Amino acid sequence: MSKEFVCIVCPNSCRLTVSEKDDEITVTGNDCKRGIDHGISEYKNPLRMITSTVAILGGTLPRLPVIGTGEIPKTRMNDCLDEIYGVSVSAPIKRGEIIIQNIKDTGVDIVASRSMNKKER
Amino acid sequence: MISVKADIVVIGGGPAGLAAALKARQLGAEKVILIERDTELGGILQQCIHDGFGIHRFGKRLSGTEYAQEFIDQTERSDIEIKLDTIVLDVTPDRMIYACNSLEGMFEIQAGAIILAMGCRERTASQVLIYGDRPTGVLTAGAVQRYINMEGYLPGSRAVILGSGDIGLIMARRMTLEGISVLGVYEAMDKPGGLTRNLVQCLDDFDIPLHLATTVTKVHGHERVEAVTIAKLDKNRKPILETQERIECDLLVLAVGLIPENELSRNAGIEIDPATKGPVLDNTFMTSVPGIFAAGNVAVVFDLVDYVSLSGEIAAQGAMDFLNGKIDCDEPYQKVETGENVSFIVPQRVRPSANKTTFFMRVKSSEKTALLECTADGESVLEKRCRYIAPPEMLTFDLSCCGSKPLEVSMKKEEKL
Amino acid sequence: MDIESINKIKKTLKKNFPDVELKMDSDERGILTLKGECRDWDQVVQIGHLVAKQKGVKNVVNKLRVPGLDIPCKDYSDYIAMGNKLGVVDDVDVVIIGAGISGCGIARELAKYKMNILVVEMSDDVATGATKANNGNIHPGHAAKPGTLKAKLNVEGNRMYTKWAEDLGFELQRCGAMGFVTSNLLKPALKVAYNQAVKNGVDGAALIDGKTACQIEPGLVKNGLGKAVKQAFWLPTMGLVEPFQVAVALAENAASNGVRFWFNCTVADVITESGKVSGVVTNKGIIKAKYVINCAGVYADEVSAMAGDECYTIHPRKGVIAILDKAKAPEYGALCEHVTMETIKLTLKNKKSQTKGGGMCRTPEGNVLMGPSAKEVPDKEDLATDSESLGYAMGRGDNGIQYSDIIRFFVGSRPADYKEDFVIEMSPISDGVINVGGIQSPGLASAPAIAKMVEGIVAQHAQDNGRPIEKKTDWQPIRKRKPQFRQLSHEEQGELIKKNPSYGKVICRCECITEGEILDAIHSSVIPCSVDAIKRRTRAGMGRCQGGFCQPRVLELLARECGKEWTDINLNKEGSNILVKSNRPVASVKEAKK
Repeated sequence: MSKEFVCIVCPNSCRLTVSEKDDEITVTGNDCKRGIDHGISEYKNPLRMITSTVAILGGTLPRLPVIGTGEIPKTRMNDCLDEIYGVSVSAPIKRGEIIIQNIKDTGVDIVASRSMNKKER
Repeated sequence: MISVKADIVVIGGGPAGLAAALKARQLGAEKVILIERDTELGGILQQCIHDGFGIHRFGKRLSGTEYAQEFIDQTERSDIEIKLDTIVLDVTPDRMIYACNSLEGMFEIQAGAIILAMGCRERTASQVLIYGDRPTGVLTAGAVQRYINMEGYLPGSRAVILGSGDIGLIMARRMTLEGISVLGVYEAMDKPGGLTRNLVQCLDDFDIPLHLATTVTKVHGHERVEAVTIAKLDKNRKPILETQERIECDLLVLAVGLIPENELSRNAGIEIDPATKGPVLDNTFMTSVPGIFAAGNVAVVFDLVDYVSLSGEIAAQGAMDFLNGKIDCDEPYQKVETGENVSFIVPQRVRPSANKTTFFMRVKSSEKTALLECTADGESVLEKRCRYIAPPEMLTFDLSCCGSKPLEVSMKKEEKL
Repeated sequence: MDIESINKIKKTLKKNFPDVELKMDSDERGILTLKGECRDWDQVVQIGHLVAKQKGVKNVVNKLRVPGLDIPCKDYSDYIAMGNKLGVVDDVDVVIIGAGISGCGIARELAKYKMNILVVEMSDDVATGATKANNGNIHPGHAAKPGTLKAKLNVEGNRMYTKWAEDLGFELQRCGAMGFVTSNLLKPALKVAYNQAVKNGVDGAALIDGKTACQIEPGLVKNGLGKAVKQAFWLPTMGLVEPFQVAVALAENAASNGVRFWFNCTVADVITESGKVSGVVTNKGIIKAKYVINCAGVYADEVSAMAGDECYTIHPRKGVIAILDKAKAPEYGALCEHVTMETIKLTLKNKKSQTKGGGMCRTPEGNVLMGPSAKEVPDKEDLATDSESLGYAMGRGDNGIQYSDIIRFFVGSRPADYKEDFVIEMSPISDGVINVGGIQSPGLASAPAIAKMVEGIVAQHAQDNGRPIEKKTDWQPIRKRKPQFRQLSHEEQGELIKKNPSYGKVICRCECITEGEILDAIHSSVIPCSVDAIKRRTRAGMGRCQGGFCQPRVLELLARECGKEWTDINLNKEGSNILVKSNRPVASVKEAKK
């Protein structure tokens, strides 16, 4: 079995082919060593940063942006987003405050990516 | 009318203005005023919730909001005077600023030096000559980003995006994650405008097709967008009629370029460079009007926020030098010419006495390898090998001494490296 | 019409269009109804025009069709059903159909009288048709064909605008217009134009020498034409307005004098009983009325037909106008045209094909306007722009204007009839129905005179029918102009903010429009409900970023002040809400885990 990826480690954009045979993974098409690690990672368990918003009550804006403390498996993205979409928080919030701990057991926390004050009335 | 004095007034509280104000204060400016027209600091970064900001400056991939927060926290801790919800109506060549807000009314500030950091605006449907009807559902990428990320509303359910720069690509992913089905990204040029990373993570990850050398020619719909017509473009970038195709959608998102906001600059009589659409700057990022400086996207549209902050700091240093009488405004300029494969360069001119000068430039066409060369009256003063240069990616280099000879910067093709 | 005249017309048609099989009916008024099949739409229009020109023809009802060409026709049946279901919802003296410049002007004029007046408008606001999409010229009246109603009302209307602007508080710039020649050979062309102006009774029209022309218009010297100008045709009464501002001012004044406005209300039928009108059927119910004044723009022919009087056909002629960035300053203070051999030829050609347009103009705010173009289209709702028309509007490329100077381009549709004149009269078939049709250029300039004329028709009719109308004692002709922050000095701006802090908050950055101005508009006597309606009243969103920055703020203000959800705020018409839904469910408050 083999898969193709465009390498994003540097602007060269090598077209990587990652093949698996007898439990051995090989990467071809890479111009440099870094492409091998990237290829294997994309093949085995591609990771993505998660960023989104949650509803916030009483804040200066109705949405609070959030970010993961690390990357999550690409395949878990929708699962995690579903949980994020169901959450709402109250102002004030400080950047870095944990909104969801260890989201969907990925080991990643979802934190506020900005501070938000209470809206003055 | 209230009348105040300040050493340095920064107009615009986005990344350029924040960096400039902080730097000016650090360099010893006693009274720094930062004027922001929105209700909070941070500028457009507050709607950029995606990550990828600050790799150069912080060595990690922050979200736009995190990047802004770093600077906002520092600014709020400082004694910089922040005026929010305040609009500058006029800037005069003798550095008088007229501004107003609801709390203080009209006021004038006599500034020792001014740093313009108003940012940029987006090109619109009329500016890219999209014909047809004018229904609801045609929005710029920035407006959609604000509605979704900050206000929490979706402006449609089936979207077509025009423009494959990073903003268009980022919005393709954002809208998809919010449940809007993105039917495709269309790009008039024959190469994508954005970074490969974004092509992979914003389009490929979601199987969103990218159509190169194709554009939206028409919008259809009476109340709401019902469809758009797309067409392939020929070599002269004219639509090929036989390739026209109708795509049913209810939202057209335009990510078709940014233009520096220079209305205040123009009224102050500042000379504008037609290539950058920002003020003509010197090595201190001073405009053609002594004591008025420019930083960030008002000077030239940058691609990385790290460079925006850097430009703010350069302008702050210049403004402090001006304040301390270290700039001889009568010293004649040396023009910096753009040579082979260079579409623009900032600063556009330097003074012979300039120390280290940081230049920002873009190339006209992509090359795998190239030689950046700076010559003074034909003699090479700087050579730098570059890999994978492309028009969307800004290049920067330092020149330790500019000298008194006319400079020219070129990007020469190199067969072998 | 007599057989002889009809035969003559038939002969002319056969000569000009030998392949077209035509059926022609006429009535005693000289209304000719054409039926048959044509090659294309252009031919339909050409035949209509040719017939309208013939002796004895009062107007043309053109039912010519083109095989294979689907001519969209508004289907009123749903509206009728809705109206009948709701039954009679109101009983008034006058129903005015359409809140364009004519409808608003007439409403304001009739508001003087003790009458119950209702304006019904199919769209969401005043001035949404031809009124909003023209170049705002208050023409002197030199261009209209002598002897036409257009010529008469244009000259009168132009005169009346000064008073209108004073009373109603809108900006009128009497910039003047000048046609100049740089060759002595072309002087006769100016003379011809001058003679026509004199014939129409245009005030102040004059032929002046080059030196005088340069004194009046310093831009000529600036452009290096100081010595070259040989003679000029000067029209000092040419004026400029923002047309939607005029309509809003009229409507607001009318409303404060008791006239009511119903928007999103489409008239689907006109009820007549034994030759007398008794009301209209709309999607909002049946409205009983003694007078029905038809100012329905491109739909005026259909409304007249609803009343049983099919007496003209509106053939929409759309025009593209491009607005340029204010950074591209107009060259002249007056509207100037360099008359050359080429422009004369073009004018003659355009006259032949009934197209009018082209040229450079400006708004009172100083935006250069290019166009309009002119294109006959079968669909009244076709307001689509196209590259060919924009190209025409932008001129031949020798005017220093570039496409990159454009901030917006749009289409307006001229509601033209085949006589290419105004149709303003009491219907002889349906008593009480007053047609105000075919109001295309110079309809804006003529608006005060049109209103006056309709006032006369109503007053006379009422008198004749033994129920003379009586003037109110408390009629208030003055509408005070609201503050316009951008036009004040810094000191005045300061004073204004002191009085009301909301003027210290600028919402539209490009045009410098404050929250105070937007709130003034929202709390006026004719409430704007959409983002575009706010734009027309305040200019918010009219600048170079086209609302990119201020649209969310305008939306927020509209929602807040009108007590609506963000998703209920329309761009313009019903069903044009900008935002579709909220992206997060309103969940229960769950505190963030610390």
